[in-house]
Amino acid sequence: MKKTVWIGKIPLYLFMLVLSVCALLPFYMMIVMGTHYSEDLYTGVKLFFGKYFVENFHAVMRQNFLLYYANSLIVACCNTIGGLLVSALAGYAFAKYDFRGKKPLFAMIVATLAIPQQLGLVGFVMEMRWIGMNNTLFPLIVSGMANAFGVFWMRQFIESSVPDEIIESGRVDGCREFGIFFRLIMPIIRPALITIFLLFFLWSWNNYMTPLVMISDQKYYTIPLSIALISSEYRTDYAARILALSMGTIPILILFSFGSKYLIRGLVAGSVKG
Amino acid sequence: MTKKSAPYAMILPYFLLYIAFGLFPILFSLGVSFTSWDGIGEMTFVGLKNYVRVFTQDKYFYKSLWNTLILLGISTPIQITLGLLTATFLKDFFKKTQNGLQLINFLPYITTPVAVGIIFQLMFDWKSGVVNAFLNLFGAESVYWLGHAWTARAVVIFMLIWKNYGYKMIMFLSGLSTIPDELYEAAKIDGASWWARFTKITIPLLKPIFVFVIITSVINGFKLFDEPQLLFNSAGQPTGGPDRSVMTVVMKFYDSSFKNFEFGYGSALAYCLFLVIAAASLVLFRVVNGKKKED
Amino acid sequence: MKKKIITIFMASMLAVTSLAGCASSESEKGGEDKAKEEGKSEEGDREITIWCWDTSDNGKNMNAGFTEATGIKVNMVAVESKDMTQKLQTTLASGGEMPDVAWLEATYRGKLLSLDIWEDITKDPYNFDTSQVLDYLLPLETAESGQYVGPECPSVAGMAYKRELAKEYLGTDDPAELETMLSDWDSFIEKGKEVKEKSGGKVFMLSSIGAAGQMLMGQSTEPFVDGDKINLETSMKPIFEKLIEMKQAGIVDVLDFSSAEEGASYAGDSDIFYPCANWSVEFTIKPNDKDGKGRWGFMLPPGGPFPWGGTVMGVPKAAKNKEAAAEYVKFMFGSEKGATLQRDCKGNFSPFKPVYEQDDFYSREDEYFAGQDVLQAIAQEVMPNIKGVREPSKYDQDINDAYNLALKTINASVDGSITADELIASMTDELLTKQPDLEK
Repeated sequence: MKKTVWIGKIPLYLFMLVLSVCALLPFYMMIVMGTHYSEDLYTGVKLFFGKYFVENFHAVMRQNFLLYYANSLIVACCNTIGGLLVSALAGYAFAKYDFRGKKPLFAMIVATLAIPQQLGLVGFVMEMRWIGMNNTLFPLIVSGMANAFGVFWMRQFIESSVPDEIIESGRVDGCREFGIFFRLIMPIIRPALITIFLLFFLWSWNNYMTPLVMISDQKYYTIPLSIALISSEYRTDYAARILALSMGTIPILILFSFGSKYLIRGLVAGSVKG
Repeated sequence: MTKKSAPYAMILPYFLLYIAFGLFPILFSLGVSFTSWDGIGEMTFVGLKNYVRVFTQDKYFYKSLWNTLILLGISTPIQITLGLLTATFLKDFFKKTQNGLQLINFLPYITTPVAVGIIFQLMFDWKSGVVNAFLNLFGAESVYWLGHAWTARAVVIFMLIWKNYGYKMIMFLSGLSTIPDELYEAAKIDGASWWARFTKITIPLLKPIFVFVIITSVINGFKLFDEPQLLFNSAGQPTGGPDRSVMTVVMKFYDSSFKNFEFGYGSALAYCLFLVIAAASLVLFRVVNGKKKED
Repeated sequence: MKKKIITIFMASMLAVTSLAGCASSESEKGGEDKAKEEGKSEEGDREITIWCWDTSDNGKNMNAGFTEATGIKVNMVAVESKDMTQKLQTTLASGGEMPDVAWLEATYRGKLLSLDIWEDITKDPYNFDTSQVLDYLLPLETAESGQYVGPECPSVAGMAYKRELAKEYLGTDDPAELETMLSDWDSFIEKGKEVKEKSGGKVFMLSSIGAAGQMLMGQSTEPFVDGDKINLETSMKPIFEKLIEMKQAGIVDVLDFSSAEEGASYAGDSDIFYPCANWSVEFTIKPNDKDGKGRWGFMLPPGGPFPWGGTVMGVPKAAKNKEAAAEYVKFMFGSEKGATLQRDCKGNFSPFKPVYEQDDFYSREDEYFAGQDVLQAIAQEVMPNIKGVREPSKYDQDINDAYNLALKTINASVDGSITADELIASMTDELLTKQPDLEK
């Protein structure tokens, strides 16, 4: 009996195996490619680690890589934490309060999901000029901080996972409205906060277009921009660039390894209602 | 602060930030779309001329829209199916290894797009790519993947599926975990097979998540830019690949605005895309959501 | 309550942003200190910022030579050549700080030159002397309005070949003999057919259709667009016809031009000839064929040498340190000292005429080329034989893109079963769609 069950599952295991290999292969290749001599990458398929890691690493570090790392971290952290607070507060309000204009306001937020973010790029550049914030990290930090997706998910999550009784009991105990949110609600919605944190962080970290357009001062470069530094006049050092990109993936990888189980829990209740 | 005014205070930061850094730039672009402006000289008002050009003169607008629809139309159903299957399998059969497998299947989504572009270029290379090497093993001829319209599309579609199915999987996993186990237990006792449980319980109960996933996929699909752009990014490659077969609307917008110095025309293009997305999402919402009443 | 929250939020945001400020200003200081130690001078803090795509040590060393001579510090900011247009444009539009010198690459240059944003460095107080610049370069550096924008290092090309393959299939590896044998494209194609037959279809004359196209394009000067009129019929059609002829003859390999896979073919032994600019030697051939010492030869291609590439130094009107920038340009491109630095640090040629009066200014036996003196060949055979140049046009980028598209089409057509007329028609159509101002 047990054996037949096991055999019946073979196609299933195969499916999972093939899929996982497909998912892993390009990622693995990225790591491997960073350890080869750039021009060798194209002479044949490279499936194993090369001997050029140290040289590539030097090529990357010569470019003040740690500074760009720090810039990326500052931008991603500020953008993420700010966005998280803003989304959670707004999501909470939409989930648990009745107020005039609630429906149209929420509909407006959802509608903004459909707007391509590139639409306002030109205007954003001009705006930053007027407030004198060009060429700082500020535009990178505030762009996308008001994230419709975040509000939407937070509302869904809070609506279905936070019982009204908790809020009521908070009020009875004399907590003020914001007090309730920070002391009672925040701990309950921690999984959702972690989820949104991970996704926001990822999006901010991988953002290429906004910094490309906004930042021309090298000391404010972020990682995706900085790989352009790793080249000489006529030669593009792909291997070193890929190594830099792999190194840039490390924080994301760590965050997601720890956060993987929350990622789902945080989305859990949010998905009950469409 | 009273219970009445509290919610307004809570949504205030969002709206302030959105108006300041989201809405304002967008409205500014709307203004720009009625002008001819290279970003440097004077802006000249041209009325609807840019829009007329988009719809009547620029066949690449239609072509890019068509390309976007093809890429999106083929890749989205596969992404969703694959995401759903993986999610269900993980939940039903891989309980112990779920966390690990989840991360593995999510890896493509977190890999930096710039790296993905370089890697896929290499993998689908005509002469030295691993894909053709694999085909040769089985005696098949090498394919000029990045040289023909439809094969280039196939590569982009593959990239999109590869990158996004993990994200869909996560969405479905979250949806699955809200379905009470008792339902499955009861069905098992009634002797329902796995397939029956899947089609009779899982799929119907996942409907809300389907609505969300489908609509956001379509919206994001229309905004497609990174993958095709990065695949044909290197020197000597035409924008949008062979026969412009993977040029998307956003690529066209980027090309006009930031390569040809036509801020006015570019903004008009972006607004046209927005109109298309809005129309598509409305129709889709109606279709997918069907009879379900709004809450 | 509301106020409190917002205050706390704003305060924390401020704290974080100012932290960000601290972090970067600190590192900035670090950089400045270093720079101060290196270049103490009476001139004080003169510094110029260059937007370029070579921030390698070679570039740094070269600029250090300038700092040593003048006391002006050089701050290099990396911008990729393909991002330069966009970067300059958004910076101008947003009122950001412009560089003092910007690099303008050949492909993207036409559009940039046509913008009225460049300082005329031939005028007072800069007085850059264009009569000292190699004559053939001047039209490449002049805007359609007639304004001279800035100098560049001459980028010219001949053809490199693999000696072993040439000897085996063409009977000789001597440059002079090969030049006589392959004096024009027709004989090149005929010989190619022989090579194809001899090798059983395994060895090709060129690695890519685009390589042939690069040479043919460089050898003709007919403008692609004449004023507002598309002129492809007379300029591009003959090129396409030759390319299709080569494709049909099967003498060209199927790689994508200047792609990484083509790079890999340098070390292989199926393609004989490659277009070879002065910069190709150090940056393409040597990195790609690491063990290729003695394997290479250099010759003039069928139809003669041609210009390929080049990067103009533009000084924006909006730059802060225009005089220092002009000094940099004059030093690097209008003096023997600069020419020496260019040569020794980067292997670049100088546009400064007087250095070509010395026979041995550019001379080095190259072991990759079996002792051939490639530098001298370029200086004395290639450079004086450049017949002319195609003037840059603001439509260059669109033309180049449409041309790349046509190359793909030719390459993908199995046996060259496509006509030049079809290609010209779709290219014209493409240009008209993109640039409604153009006429057929």
